[in-house]
Amino acid sequence: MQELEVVRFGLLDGIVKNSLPYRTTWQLRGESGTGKSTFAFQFTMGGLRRGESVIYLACDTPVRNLRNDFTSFGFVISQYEEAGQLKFVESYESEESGVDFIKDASDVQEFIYVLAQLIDQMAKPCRVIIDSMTAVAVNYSTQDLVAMVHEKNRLLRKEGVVMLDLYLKGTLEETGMYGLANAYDVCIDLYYPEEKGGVPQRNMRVHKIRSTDFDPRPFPFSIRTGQGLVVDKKFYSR
Amino acid sequence: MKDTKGIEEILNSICDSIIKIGLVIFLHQNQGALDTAEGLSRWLGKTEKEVKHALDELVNVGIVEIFGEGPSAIYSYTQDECILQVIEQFINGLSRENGPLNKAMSLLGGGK
Amino acid sequence: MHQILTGINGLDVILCGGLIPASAMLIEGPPGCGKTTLGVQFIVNGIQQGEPGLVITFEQFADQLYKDAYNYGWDLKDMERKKMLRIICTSPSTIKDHLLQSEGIIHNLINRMGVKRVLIDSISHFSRITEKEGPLRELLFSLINALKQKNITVTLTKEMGLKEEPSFEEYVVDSIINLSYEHFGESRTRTIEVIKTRGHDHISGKHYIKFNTDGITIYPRQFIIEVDNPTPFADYIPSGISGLDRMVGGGITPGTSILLSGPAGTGKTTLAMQSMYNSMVKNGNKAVLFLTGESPDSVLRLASGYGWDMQDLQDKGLFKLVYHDFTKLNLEEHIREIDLVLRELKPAVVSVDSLPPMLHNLNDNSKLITEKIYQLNNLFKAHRCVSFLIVRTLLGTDQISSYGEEEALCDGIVILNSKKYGHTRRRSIEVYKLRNQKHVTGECGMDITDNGIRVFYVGKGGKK
Repeated sequence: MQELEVVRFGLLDGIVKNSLPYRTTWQLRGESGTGKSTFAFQFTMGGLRRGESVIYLACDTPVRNLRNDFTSFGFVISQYEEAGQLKFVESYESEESGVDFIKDASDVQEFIYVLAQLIDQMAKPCRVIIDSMTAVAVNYSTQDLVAMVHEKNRLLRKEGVVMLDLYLKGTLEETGMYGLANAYDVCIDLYYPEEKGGVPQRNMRVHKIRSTDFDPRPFPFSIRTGQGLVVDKKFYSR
Repeated sequence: MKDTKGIEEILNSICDSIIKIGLVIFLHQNQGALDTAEGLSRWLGKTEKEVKHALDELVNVGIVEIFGEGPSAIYSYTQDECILQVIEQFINGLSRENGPLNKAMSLLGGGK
Repeated sequence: MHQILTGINGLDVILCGGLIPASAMLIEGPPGCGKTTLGVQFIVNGIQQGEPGLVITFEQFADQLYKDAYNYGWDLKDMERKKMLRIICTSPSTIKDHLLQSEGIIHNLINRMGVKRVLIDSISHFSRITEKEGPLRELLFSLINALKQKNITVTLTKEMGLKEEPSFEEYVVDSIINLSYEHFGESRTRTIEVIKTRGHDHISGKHYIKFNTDGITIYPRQFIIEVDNPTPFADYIPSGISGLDRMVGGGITPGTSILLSGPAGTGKTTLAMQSMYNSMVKNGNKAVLFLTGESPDSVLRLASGYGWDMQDLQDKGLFKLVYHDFTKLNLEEHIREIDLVLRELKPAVVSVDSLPPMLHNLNDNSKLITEKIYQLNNLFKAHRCVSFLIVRTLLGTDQISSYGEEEALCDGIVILNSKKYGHTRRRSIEVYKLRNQKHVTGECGMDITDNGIRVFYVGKGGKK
């Protein structure tokens, strides 16, 4: 049997016991400003640097802004985009010429179709990032959103493809979030813990990982230009 | 060889008979006609008696050929090229405007 | 059995191969419906094949025959000069005497010329000899037999009222065709019907006939069309619209007729054009668009708006657009034209845009509509084409077809629609029916972009 291809993502090494395979769906939740986009950038760069392809769906902001964001975090992406290794998709107001787009993000079928088409076109392995699902979710009732996400993940879960969906915490009902978590193999939270005085320290906590052991405790992290999230993995062993 | 001039004379001599003119024109335009006097009288819309009389005269001058005898004798147009040419000219001469042909045809009540 | 071709366009088709040599065919019908022309054409075609002919006329002046024939380009006088034809103006009694007697003039003439085809125009005049049926029948029988013994094929015309009982002539001939007038749509047209044939089959029913510049053409109402060596297309023809192809398991089986229905503006023309374009560009197939509704300009402009250069494909001989103003369209002629185009081009995909204008002149006669759609489908099927028959339905109704007949006759039905969701209108496509092919049911989203239609189906529902 062929060795299962795994998603290399240094950020989780040590926290997750075994490596995570492709054909998985990841959910990243976090409040505003906790570093979701940075996490996504890091996930993107990790793939690109390993020669993998990446589809980045921008729902919250135009692609040109996103490119600037990558640059301001110290990530150089232009060569990957030129090589066709990185593909931006936009689902935000008017379509920028040359960028693939989803016309109507409230149309589940179009949403899934456009992504499926792109996934088919891109070389594998491929990382698919939706930044963020919250922008898509505003079009749906919680119930419909859960159904939509399940449908999306069922149809797009393919060999050599890993999907990372970003969610802004606090905008969805908790019951809904529970239903959503069922659609994912990996759930990660980014948050600020309750302040105990001093400088607030961001935390990352792995909520759920299907079929492997993981450390469920929160780990503090900082954000550094050019690197992204730097997790203090020795926090508990000190 | 028939004497062309003689035929012209004959043609002129039959011009007094509308039946004869009609017969010649009919036979010239429908050279495949092959019928008894009775049959031809139908085609021309004339009585059998006058048609038969005219036919016999035309047989005598060689314009019409006859096969058989009596009422079942059938007549057909000559196939002599010389006669055909002369008659062609004769009819063309007749067919001038207000010429005898138009008069003849209107009297016959047939043709064009 | 060996048959001789009449050479008359379409007649040999409805006679299933022509006439049996040394047989007699009766052409009956009311005055002015073309009996003599049909008979003369039979003689002329024989002469063109090297078979001398004889026309025996009891009522038409030879002079008139020459003129009428000349209008169709047949120089009868020249044929006579070349000893290939003889036109005899005569009477029935003369025929009786001189054909039946071994030394009769006509008897000799036939032998001398080596006549192979004879036209007798018309046998109604035999009543001049006798009115009694018995002797008449006997006379006709002996005349026909005398000709048959000389290995001659005979056609006889017979004057006939519109509704008349079959008469004795019909028993002494081998085949009978009936010419008549028929109200076909708005106009009165001539039709032909084979009443009987002895020794071979024929296509029954009334067929439309037309007097063209080269004589009579018969447009067979043909339901069983045989195409020798139909093009061996792939197992299925993809539309090139990935979502749609996935819905039906990869593409449409050749020879499938699809009713493409939907309200105005739902993308029917675009879908058909896109399928044709993709089939040509991606699969190297050919395609034909039979256009009767819109103008060719607007359709080509629509295509070029999506970047499909149909003109270029037409120049390359891959695409053909056949346009007719539907108000002037003669359906029988058009169906024959379609057959000829398909035989010539051998397209994999054809589109009829749209069906109702093509059937406009049938005046909503549902029986005829059913028949014509059936005939069209058979035609496309025989040529193994995937065909799209476009039909516009009313917005907001559950109507699938224009006439209520098409859905049962077509192998497949694809419905395009659009519905309002809040302030946006969403398009949908549904494969409502597809005979012998697995397909996804229910509506699926689609949209029309600058590059054409996208169907938002990503599953594998149609896989066999």
